[in-house]
Amino acid sequence: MVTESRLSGTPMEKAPEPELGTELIPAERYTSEEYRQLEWDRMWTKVWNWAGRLQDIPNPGDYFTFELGSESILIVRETEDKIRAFYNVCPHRGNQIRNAGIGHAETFQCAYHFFEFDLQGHLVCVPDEYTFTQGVPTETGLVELPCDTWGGTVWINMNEDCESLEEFLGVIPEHLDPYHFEDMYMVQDRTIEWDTNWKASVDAFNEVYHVQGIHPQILESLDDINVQIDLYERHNRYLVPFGLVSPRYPNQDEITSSLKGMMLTAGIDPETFDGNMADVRPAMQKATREKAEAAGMDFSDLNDDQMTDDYHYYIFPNLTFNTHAGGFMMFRQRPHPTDPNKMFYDLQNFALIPAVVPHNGADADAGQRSSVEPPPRPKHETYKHGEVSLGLGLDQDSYNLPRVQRGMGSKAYKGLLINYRERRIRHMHKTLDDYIEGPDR
Amino acid sequence: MSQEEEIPFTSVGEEGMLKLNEVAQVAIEDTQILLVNAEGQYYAIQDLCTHDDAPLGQGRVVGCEIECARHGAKFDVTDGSATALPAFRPIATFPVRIKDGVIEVQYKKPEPPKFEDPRIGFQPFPSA
Repeated sequence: MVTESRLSGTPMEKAPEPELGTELIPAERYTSEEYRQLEWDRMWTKVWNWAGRLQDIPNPGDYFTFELGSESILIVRETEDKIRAFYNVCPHRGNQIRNAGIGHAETFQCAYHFFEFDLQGHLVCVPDEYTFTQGVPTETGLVELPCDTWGGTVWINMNEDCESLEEFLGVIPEHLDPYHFEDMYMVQDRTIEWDTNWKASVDAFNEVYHVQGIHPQILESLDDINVQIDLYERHNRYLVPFGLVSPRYPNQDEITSSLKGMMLTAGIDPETFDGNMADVRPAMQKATREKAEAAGMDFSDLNDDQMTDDYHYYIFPNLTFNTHAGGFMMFRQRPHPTDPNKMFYDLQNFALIPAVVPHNGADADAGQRSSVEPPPRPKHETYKHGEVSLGLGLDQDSYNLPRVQRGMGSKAYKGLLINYRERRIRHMHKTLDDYIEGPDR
Repeated sequence: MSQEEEIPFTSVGEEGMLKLNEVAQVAIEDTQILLVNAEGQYYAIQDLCTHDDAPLGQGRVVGCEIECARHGAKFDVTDGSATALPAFRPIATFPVRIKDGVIEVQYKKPEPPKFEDPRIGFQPFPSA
């Protein structure tokens, strides 16, 4: 288990800039079957993957599956303190033990021939065992793989010789533990099969250079120029200031309708607000903190900018967190098992439940936990590309990404020409190179 | 008399000023409006592409659709609905009538946009 970091707040220091070069990133990485297979063999099966939430398996015997590429992984709570992960496959004839999704099992009995396994994966029953004249090898069982937890989340790794999750995550727990992900509950769970390569989706969320083209409406509410970018060993972040207008926005003194929307969220009436533009962001930050405290939410580990801004973290290879005080939205990009032009876009929204124990409070104890009920676990919804509206901003990305994918497949297109503000993309490719070409992690 | 009927019509030109699929920019109060001859009928829409809140320009009209000359968004001029991306939101439309050979537009200032919090993933938490 990853140790919870000292809660001294999210570090703000600018990370040193690594030397990443300036060459084109080859388009084939996004379109070729050969590269898709390389990624699977050398990266996806070697890297730690966010599999799901502990909240989905509160009791012994509870399980969920995690589908990644051609694999399905069964994650089960064996006991109160022990989580295990198995390949979701019966060693007898290869049938999948359980359907994709969430469930509960006392034992795992394969529906095909009734081979039965306990929650440790041990084979406990073979019907008509005497008919296996060669005998059933004693080691026959569900194949286990490394699994660990952080921030209320279960992670798995298909490399049995992998580094620890703690080593893999690096600075991330120190940065994100102040948000208390473990106290956040899922309020939306969607998967959309997108018609684009998984990396094109990652890229679209890792730069704000495209805001003026694809999301012009949000120039009314954020600064897309003065964005701090920090590149760590494998993961990266940018800090996007909200609560002001973009330097590109024509009227720098206008308290726009989007800013008024943010003010309403913070509990400020925009019609009676008597400040000017420079007062908006600090007023929202102050009001947000006061509103949270009144609602019993503990934001004492977060700084003022975190009251308004999107601290946007990318955990290699496929996790994007739009992190806010009181909640976050996770994007998870999963590769398609056979087609480099498709992917699965998981969209999960999490909300902090008010009035749990103040983490830094002197008298914080279990007896003070509130009676606020967590929201019911939302149903997992699945869609094809364009079947469902995801909200204006994500609809705009969803519209654009298949066009990017088609264009990258053109014989006229050579590769990604990346600017300084887009350097998180180059950083991702550098990390990918380390898996594909570098020493085996 | 209903409230709709109280909104006055404003003369914007002579009948016959536009050939089929032609557009003309007219201003009423502080709003830029495009007068469009689509399928032989006159329509009036706000000259503001909702993709990026800049003018549609001399957009091309085919059938009842106008295409923004800048990024290719399309709108149905009969009801203002966005029919091709990158626009998602409808544009404002205004009733048009021909009276005594004069084209008149019933102008009503478009509603300002609703206040919406634009942050992806921000969870509004309850008030105390």
